[in-house]
Amino acid sequence: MVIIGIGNPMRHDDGVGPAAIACLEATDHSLEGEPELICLDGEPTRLLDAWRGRRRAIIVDAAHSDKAAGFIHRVEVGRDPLPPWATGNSSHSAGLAEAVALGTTLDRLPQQLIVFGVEPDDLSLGPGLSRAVAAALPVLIEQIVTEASR
Amino acid sequence: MTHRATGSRALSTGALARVEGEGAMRVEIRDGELVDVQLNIYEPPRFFEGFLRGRNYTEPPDITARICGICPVAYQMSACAAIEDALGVTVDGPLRALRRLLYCGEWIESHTLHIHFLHAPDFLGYESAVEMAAEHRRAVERGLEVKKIGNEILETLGGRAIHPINIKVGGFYRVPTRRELQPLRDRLERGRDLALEVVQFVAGFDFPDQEMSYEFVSVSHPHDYPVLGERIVSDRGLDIDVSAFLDHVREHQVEHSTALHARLLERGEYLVGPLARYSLEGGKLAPAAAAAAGEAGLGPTCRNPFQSIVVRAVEVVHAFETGLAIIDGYEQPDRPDVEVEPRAGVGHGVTEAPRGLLYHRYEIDEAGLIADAVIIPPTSQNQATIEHDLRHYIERHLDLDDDELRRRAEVTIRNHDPCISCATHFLDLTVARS
Repeated sequence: MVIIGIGNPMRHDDGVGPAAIACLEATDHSLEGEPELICLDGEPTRLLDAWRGRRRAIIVDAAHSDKAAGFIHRVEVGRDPLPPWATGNSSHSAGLAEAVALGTTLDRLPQQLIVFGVEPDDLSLGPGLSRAVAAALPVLIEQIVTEASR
Repeated sequence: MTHRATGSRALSTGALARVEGEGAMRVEIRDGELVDVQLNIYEPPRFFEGFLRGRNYTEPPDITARICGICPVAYQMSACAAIEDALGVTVDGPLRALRRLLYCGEWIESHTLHIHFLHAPDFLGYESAVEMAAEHRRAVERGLEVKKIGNEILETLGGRAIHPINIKVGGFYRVPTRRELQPLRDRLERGRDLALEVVQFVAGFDFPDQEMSYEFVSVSHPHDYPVLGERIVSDRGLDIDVSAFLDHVREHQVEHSTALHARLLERGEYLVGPLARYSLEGGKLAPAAAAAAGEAGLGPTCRNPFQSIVVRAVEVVHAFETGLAIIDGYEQPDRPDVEVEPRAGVGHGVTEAPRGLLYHRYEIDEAGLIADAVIIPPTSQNQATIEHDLRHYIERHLDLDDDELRRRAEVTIRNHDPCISCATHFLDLTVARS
């Protein structure tokens, strides 16, 4: 299993993915099977490489929709439709949706791919999470740990 | 919406697809004649040069690497070159060779991404690499494998594939042993063989017949195909030391872009990147790359921007060949870096990013703090030429309807693999016909 945090820590809440990975690395969450924890920028070919050969993968990313800041979305790829926030938010306007589409075409998707998306409050330049997203982080970690333990 | 081909119209692309960063294009046609073409770069200004001021001389390689997720090594290398110049430090021998090897990894990664996922769909008639993958699975999988080998070079030497962390002013934090590089050698051989297939694949595309009268500008080195170097040359007589770059190149602001346009004081717009490197310094390609170029039908120079995809593929072969030669000749140095002492000074650094010449200049004070920084990325230098290409192409194809004109204009831009994030600073296209 691999857990992938997507985002840019220098754009405040866009860095929620890497922040979640840092939390998982820093504390003993007794994750079963010792999943690999990695941070990526969301570029599709890197995502394809990162989850290649894995049975399960969890993605953590910022998710900009109409929900309140700190709201945590959960999407199971293949069972749930991929929401608009998963498309076009990174380099070359390609991101998770393109990685999923390319992975589907090339048979390179994990059997189970779960995406956690956290609603951002602040995407301006600079490090650190907004108060709303920082407050959601412990809940997010708990949900990731629960998901990883299934 | 499709307009009639004649008359007056305004055509705009609101979000240019398959380019790095956020930009737009606006084309105005009045009474059947092209009036204006603007490559609008609206990605917000990023102020990197501003917030480098007051930072320690050791910091620009890591800070400027953040300018781009596709070409961080280029920023690290140009930053190191400029700071080392200011501090009177020379990095050569195995440390310079390792820097070139690291840079080969970035060229392989960046070029392979552009060839397969951004540019090839244009020639094969697909909207995206995802669509292309359904019918050209082998080609896309090959692209993924080549790109991954580029990643492996970055991971081995740089510590990680994105924003490497092992690079410092004076060299590296840690250098590999000969033994640690051997597994990479096998992977580079595999990559070289795949890269030769890629050259054959892209050489078979149908290219529009278009020869442009660019002034080519690139870094030059006495022996090596340009990656690292100290001189800057052009095909119209420019032959200068890196320290004289700002005596010949001026950046100026244009209203429609948050990226500065760079021009040669003497002659105006110019082109940096694969076409320039190949046309100016192609004689220094590794033999296998030169042979692949010949078999692909490239002459000694290439002025057709659509064929830049072939030149990129040739450069990927060159990068693998160069990497293999470096590994074969590598002797681990006694220490991973050259000793560096801060002192006041001004330094200039220039290297060849995948998209072309990347210039850095730093002024450092006695305490080793950055007093002033200038960064001129390749896309800033190519913006005016990209607009010129657009004008040239659109003027000859005004009979096309808006949708087709928009598509082809986007291809014209993608020929140069603009890194808009680097320059500022996606592409929206507006065609105004009135």
